[in-house]
Amino acid sequence: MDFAEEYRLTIQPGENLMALVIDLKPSERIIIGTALITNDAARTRLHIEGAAPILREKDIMRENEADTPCKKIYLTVQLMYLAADPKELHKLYFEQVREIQQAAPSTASYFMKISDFILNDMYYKALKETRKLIEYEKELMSGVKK
Amino acid sequence: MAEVTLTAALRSNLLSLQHTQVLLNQTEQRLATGKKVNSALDNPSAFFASQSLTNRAGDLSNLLDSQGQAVETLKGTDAGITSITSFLQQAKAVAQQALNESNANGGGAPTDVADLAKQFNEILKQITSLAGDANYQGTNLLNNASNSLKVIYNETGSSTQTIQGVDFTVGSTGNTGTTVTYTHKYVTGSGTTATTVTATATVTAGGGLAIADAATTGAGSWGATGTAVNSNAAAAIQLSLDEVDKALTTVRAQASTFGTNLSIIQTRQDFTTNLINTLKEGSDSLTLADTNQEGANLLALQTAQQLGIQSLSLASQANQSVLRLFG
Repeated sequence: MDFAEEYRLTIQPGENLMALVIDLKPSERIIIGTALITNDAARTRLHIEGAAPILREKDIMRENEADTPCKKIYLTVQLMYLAADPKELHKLYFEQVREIQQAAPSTASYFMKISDFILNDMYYKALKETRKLIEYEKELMSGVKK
Repeated sequence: MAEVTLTAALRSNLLSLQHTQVLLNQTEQRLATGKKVNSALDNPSAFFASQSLTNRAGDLSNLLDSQGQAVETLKGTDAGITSITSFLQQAKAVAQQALNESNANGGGAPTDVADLAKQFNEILKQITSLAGDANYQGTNLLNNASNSLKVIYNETGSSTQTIQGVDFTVGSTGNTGTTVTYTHKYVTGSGTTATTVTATATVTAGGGLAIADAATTGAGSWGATGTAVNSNAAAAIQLSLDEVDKALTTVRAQASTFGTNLSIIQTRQDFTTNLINTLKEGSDSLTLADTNQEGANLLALQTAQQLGIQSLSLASQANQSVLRLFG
């Protein structure tokens, strides 16, 4: 699991090393597989094993939040990660990538990394790299307004 | 030789001429290659970024070749399985005809027992032969369960998929291997009481499909002379049918597994092909890049996307995902 370094906390005696350990704050939400789980009023610690996609609230981008070209890429990668059959989203992804690369060729290096992570099923890393791309997009666009 | 002394004006003109020559050379080079950034000297970061994109595209192309070969192997294997399935259905038809004739003879040997048994056995030989010949790109996935096909998805070889072969040669008595026992229940009796009797066949499978050759003489053969309902000719033929049915189930399940494997490789192949194209496009356009313009282009794209079909498609996908629950 490639996001273990983000989520991993101190290991307790008897803890399963292969499990992902996630602390949820009260009312915090998390997507695991095809379920949206909302924590109750107390802090909770979860130990998660298996291949289901996992997305914490802070990493989730809502559809209506994706209001720039690169944020829409984040949305697409997110959907790929959560989808049972990501194949349908591949076509959309590449259409988006082409459009943005044509508009802003300097984004090409970011897309090389993001696409590589997707090819190797490392979706969490792909999402992290997309965050960097979104920051870069913000820089480029704010440069125009000056 | 005396030094030539240049006046300030002359020196200035000379420098100007030299500079013009440099510019001319540069323009000539750019015209020749069509690129604004020809070497690291023009724009170092754009040049190297462009190079690394091109290199990546090259690496992926090599992987694509081996993926393509795997796809060909699986397609060939699939064709082999289709043929085997067809042969099994023919065998089933022959056995069914034998059973019909046997029942017409009150459960005794079929009229054409010698001919039918010969046809049946011929078909079994064909299946073994076909499995033995199912060699595609140097790999045979149908004649040995230890054979496998390895597909590599990245340069370091850390992302791979191994597709395991099967043994679909026809194992019959005489080959060493595991014993497979078939039982078939027959209901006898009339009126309100019925007795279930079973007939069994033990086939020594040579690691492959467990179907015994049809014999025409002796107990437990298609030409058996006994009259007991669980050991007459009809019983023997029924057991052969059971063997063929079991084999059909096994072969169909495997066809499904190979089909899934093929689908996974093809999805990666398509993604890799698209990726190579975007890398090449990215590499080419980097050398013409004008970062001043990029921000403005992105803003224009943002506006266009608000009205675009792409946004609708994205919205529709998001709506079908668990993401819609997040609100």
